[in-house]
Amino acid sequence: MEDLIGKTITSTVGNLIPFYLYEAEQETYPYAVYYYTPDFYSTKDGVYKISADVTLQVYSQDFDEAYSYAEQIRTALEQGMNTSRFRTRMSATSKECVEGVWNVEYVYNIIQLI
Amino acid sequence: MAAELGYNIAFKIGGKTLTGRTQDDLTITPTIKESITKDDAGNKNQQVSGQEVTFSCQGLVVLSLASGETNKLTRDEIVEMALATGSSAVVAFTYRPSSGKQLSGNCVVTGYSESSNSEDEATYTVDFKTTGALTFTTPV
Repeated sequence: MEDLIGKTITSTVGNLIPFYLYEAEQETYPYAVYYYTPDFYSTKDGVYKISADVTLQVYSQDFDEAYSYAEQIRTALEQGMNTSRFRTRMSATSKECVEGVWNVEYVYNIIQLI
Repeated sequence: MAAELGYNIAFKIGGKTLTGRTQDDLTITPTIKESITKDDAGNKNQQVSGQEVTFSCQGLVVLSLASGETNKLTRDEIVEMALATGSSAVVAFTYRPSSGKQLSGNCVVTGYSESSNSEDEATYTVDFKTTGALTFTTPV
């Protein structure tokens, strides 16, 4: 069973905002990054589920812009990744400003089924 | 030393594994008769008259199989087995690691339970007890 969580997140929200894994490749605001560590669950016959707490951070020099993108991403994920293959639920959120750059962070629990 | 990985050990009913299987437990409990006479000078004697052999299997509730998965029992088939009575309740089993000897014989279901909550996959536990003679041989 292949981990499709990252690929599917990217295809679902990658057209909304410059979107990267772990860190931005260009320092042009706004942008978003995501990262996660998958946990694999198995029966004796093989993997049947992959679960991951996915951290998704939106960076912008304007809070309203960062928050708006974070909400657009949330809507896209909840609509596009609640299917027969994926279950997505937001589990935590935080917001902080460091040296004038806002980081709006949402954490999702995403489960990929067979 | 090569320890056997758990997923290599298969408990089968009628040649089929239980679908969604996550754990198979085998328990062999000797039936022991204890005796003591005055001549034993206080030392008890133990005589094994037989064994009680049970299996406890756990897995995910799976209602339908993928195409081509003909070697597994679905949840409905397991429940039907648990509801059987009389001679229909006696089923043939095998229990074997990836190699080595196989334990085989007949068994009956002694318990079936399902567990479901609002977060995780539904799971089942089904318990078996052997009936009649058992064989412990290397399959040809």
